[in-house]
Order: sequence, then C-alpha cells, then structure tokens
Amino acid sequence: MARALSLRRRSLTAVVGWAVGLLLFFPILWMVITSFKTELEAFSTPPRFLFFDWTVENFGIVQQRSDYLKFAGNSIVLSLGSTLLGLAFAIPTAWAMAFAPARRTKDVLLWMLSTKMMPPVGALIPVYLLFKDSGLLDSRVGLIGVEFLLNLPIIVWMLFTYFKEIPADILEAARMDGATLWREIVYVLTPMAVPGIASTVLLNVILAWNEAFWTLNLTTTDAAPLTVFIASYSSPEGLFWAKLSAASTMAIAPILVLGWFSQRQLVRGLTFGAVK
Amino acid sequence: MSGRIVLRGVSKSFGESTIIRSLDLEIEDGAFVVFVGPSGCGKSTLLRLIAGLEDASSGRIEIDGADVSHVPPAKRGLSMVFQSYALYPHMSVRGNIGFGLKMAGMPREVIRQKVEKAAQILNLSDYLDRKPRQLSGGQRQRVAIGRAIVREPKAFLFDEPLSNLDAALRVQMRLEIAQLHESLRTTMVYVTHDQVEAMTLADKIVVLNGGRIEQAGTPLELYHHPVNLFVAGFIGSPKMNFLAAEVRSVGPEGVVVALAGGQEIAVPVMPGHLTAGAKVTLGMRPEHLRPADRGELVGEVAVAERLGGETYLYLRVPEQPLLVVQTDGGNATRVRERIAVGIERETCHLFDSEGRSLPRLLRHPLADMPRPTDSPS
Repeated sequence: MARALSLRRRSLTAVVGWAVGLLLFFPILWMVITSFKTELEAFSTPPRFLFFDWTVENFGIVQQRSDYLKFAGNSIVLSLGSTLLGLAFAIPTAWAMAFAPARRTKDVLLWMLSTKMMPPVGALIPVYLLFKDSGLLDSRVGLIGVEFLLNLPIIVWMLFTYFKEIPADILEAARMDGATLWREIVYVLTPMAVPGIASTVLLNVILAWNEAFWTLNLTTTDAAPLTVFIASYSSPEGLFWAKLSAASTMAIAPILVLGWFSQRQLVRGLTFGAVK
Repeated sequence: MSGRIVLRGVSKSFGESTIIRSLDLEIEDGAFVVFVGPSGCGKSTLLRLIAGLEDASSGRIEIDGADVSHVPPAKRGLSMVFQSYALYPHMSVRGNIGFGLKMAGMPREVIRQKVEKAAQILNLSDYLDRKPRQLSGGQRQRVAIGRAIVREPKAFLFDEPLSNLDAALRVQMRLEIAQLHESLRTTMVYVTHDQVEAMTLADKIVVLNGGRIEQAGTPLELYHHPVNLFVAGFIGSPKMNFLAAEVRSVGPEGVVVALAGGQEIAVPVMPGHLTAGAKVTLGMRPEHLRPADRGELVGEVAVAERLGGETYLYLRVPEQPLLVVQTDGGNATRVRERIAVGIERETCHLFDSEGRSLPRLLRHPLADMPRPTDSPS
C-alpha cells in the first residue's frame, strides 16, 4: 500500500520535474532551432517546429560579419580574470569573516550583499566618466576591474558559507603545528575548501560571462565580449531573428557546455549550507 | 628547554561574561596536570589560553621562563591534541604527522625518519599512506598524538582527547597516554570531565569551578582531604553522601556531631572556630559505609544497582537525602528491605556552614605521594 503510494508519488514528481525542466529549457531550444532556419521561416506563422529546410548559412553570415573568436576570447579573459582576481581578495576576506569575526562582521556581510541591490544604472554615469578620464573605456583591464567588483560580494558570501562549514579545530591544529596565518590559508584552508572554491569559480565565471549591462556600456570593439556580439544583431536595420539566434547560440554554447559538465558542482554550490 | 608553565593573575572574559577569574597556577616541568570541573567551569578555556588560541584579558603566562602572553600559538613550542582529533582531512597520515615539521622547515629526509619513528611507536606504520577518513576512531586519535609528539614540544596539551572514543578504547588509550608520559617525561596538561582519567593520569589535579581553582593537589590528596564541599562532591564516584548535622561538643579527639535522627558521631577533625550548636555537613563516601547489624544509620533500600563486582544500595534515611552505600557484588539485599549501615568515623569529612572542610587530625599516608600511577620500569 505504502509502496504503491510512493510509486505514484514518485512518478508524479518525475512528470512535474520534466515539465518544469522542459518549460525552462524551451526558450533555449527554440533559439537553437531558429538559428537553423532561414530569415523567412523564422518569421512564419504558425511557426514550424522541426519540419523546415535546415540551414547553417546564418552561422556563416554571422562569422563573416563579425569575428566570433575575438569576442569569445574577450569573454574568456573577462570572466576568468575577474573571477580569479575576486578569489585572491575573497579568500582572505572570507577567512577573516568566518574564523576571526568581529562585532560588526554580520553587518559588513549584509552591507556587501546590499550593494548588489542597487540598480547598476545609478552608478553608470560616474563609472563611465571615470573610465573615460582614465582611458579605461573599451579596455580589458577596466572591464575585469568592474566585473571583479561586481561579483566580489557574491564570491565572498559563497566562500564564507563554505568556510563556515570547516571545523575551526583543524585550523587551530595548524596554528599549533607552527603554521603562520598565510601557510594556514594555503596549506590547510584552501585545499579543504577546494569543492567550495570550484563551485564559486564556476558560478562566477557564468555570471561574468552573462554580464551584459556593463560590458554593453563600457566596451565597443577591443574589449567587447560575446554579449556585445549578440547585441550587435538587434540592429536598427530591423530584426534578423535567425541571425540573432545563430549569434546567441554561438555565444552561449561554451558556457552551456561548461555548465552541463559541472552541473553537480553547481547545484551543490547553490544549495550548500541551505540543507544539512 | 623546560616545560614549566606559570600562570599569574590570568583572567579571560568574553564580552560580559568572565570565564577565568584572576587565576594563579604553576605547572612543574615534566608534570602531568589534569584540569577537571563541571561543564562551563573554564577548563578548556584555560587550556586554550596556555596554547595561545585565546588571548588572556589580563595576567601573564610564562613558558620555560619566558613571558608568552602575546606570543602566537605557533611560536609557543607546544603541541595540542583536540577532542575532535582535528586531523587534516586532505593529507595522508604521513602528511598529518609531518605537517608541523614541514612548517618548521626541516629537510624532507629528516621528516620522513621522524614520522616513521613516531608511527612505529604508535602502531601506525601500516597506515601511513591512508587518509584520516579511512581510519577508525582510535587510529585517528593515535595520528593526532603522533602529530603532537614528532614536534618534540615543551609541553603537550590535551583537550578531552578520549571523549569521542568508546569505553573499551578509552581505557586502552588512557594507558597509552600514561605510558607516553612515562617514557617522554614531558609536561602534559590534560582537560577532562572524566574523573577516572583525572585520578589515574594526573600527578596533580586542578579542580575548577566558575573560573576559579577550588583545589589543586595529588589525586589522593583531593580524595582524602578535599578543601570544600564542591571538591568533595566532585571527586569520587558515586558522589560523597552529605548529611545535615549539628555540633554537640568540641574536644581534642575531634568534633562530636549529631545527625537529625539523634545519632552521635565523633569525627577526628580540627574544630577550628566551631562551637557547640553550629550547623555542619557530614560527608561520607559510599565506599566507606558498610552494612552492619549495629550500624548508626537505618533505612529502607530504595534502589539497588548491581554492577557485578559491586552493588550500590540507595537508602531512604529519615530527614536526609538518599544515602548511597557501596557493598560487594555478592550482597543480596533487596529493594524495600530495611538495613543498618555503620559509619567509619576516621573516613568522615566535616564541612562548616560555608562549605569549607575542617582539616583532619591525621593526614592520609598516600595523600602526598608524588606519582600515584608508578608503572613498572
């Protein structure tokens, strides 16, 4: 009896799970399909799902018009650069917050998070002018700086939650064993936090990869990542859905593959500390 | 190098609450000192202050003659064994034991030799390449001890090292720690709430309560000559019986007291400031009470705990709390039977109305013996 019930429940959960999953995935699937249509078919009503003349000409045209590899290269440099820079600052910060908290540590953490709630557009004009005056517009260095600062609160928060799970005893044991603060972080804390650090890196690479507001506003060509590459296809000449879809597919493909292979790490990273 | 540790006026507060109150203590080089006390008495905090893992709010801590009050733990030359073992989970046993030597910058070959020697002493030679999660509790504890001994510290600090082990293993590890002290002769400071560990391991027991030292002395000194009700009740298991009494007369042979039931007992203690009519507490250990036909105390057995080797009888005596009597395992007394219990007056303790004990006329011959656990060498 109980078994039959649990079976029914399990199949119901499975059906709902698949339905939600497909619903969430549908826009991406539609975009990929559209990228293989001609511009005419991309517009046709009712839309055709699978039975149309599949073509790869959009990808060719997109590559001809703009150098995909250059944009992708910038995306990689910006997302990895800002994340690694973030780690360099966030590991010591999170160490201090997790293992040597002061009276106001909780407040500082909340304040850091609150900066994420400010609409970025509020800071656009000052940041833009700063960039303009210091010649950082459309430079990789400037953009890495912005994305690093943008995601630093999230990196600190994630590492803080991971570090909190590490028993303080073990770090104290290292201190008794004669490790200096720096060696304690390098030899004991960091290796123990590797799963957490990996999740943090993954999530922040994805966040930085997808970051569009600042990249669109502060770059044009030299430091422009894939977000700018996509945006350049929603042009005033009119919308070219098929080409826009082809560009978008090319832009998200690398991060989609990365996400697919690391989904377990990612889920663990996002729910860590919430359960258990 | 000496492992003499001296604390002078050491206090520790966390915000509003004071954990350690202006405490003075001297730990001789090579001694085995055990801190005991109820939960929250400050025993672990005191150990962490010596380790340097906490900073004292005031006072001075000296190790080997040098003031280390503001020296970080890494530079104090002490080793610590934690209750949770606190092994480095990502390192092999070899890496764990050798970590301190690596931090000290020793050459790789020297580290290898020292680690292997320590592993041999601790029976870990076959496990050197395993990770801590592949070891049993007892093996993990050995690794933690190995990590402590390879560094050849001035003193070892143990923070309830055996409380995560099961009973049988605890006895075995207790013996191993005793043997380790015997062979190394290095100062050991040990925190526990287990009084068997305290009694068997210590040269000197420090009983802490509310951040103060109630009494410090050899285990048998604390057992035979507790200075107050707290120490008397804390040392010994089952707990000492306390009966309310009143002083009848005071003389050179001691103090004659009367229990609520009218029984008079002459206790051989120095009367001090006591006079007839003063309210006092009579203390008697369960093991010093014996069923006897003409015993002074008569009561009904409420509970009988039979452990095999011995039996504890809990007696309902009029106007007194339950009285615990230790008898031999062959005692056939049943619940609800009435029995009489005899008091050995030489073993009685007397406490004044403030809980201070009255010094005994005769000092117990074993109370000042330096090492109660002399092992054959």
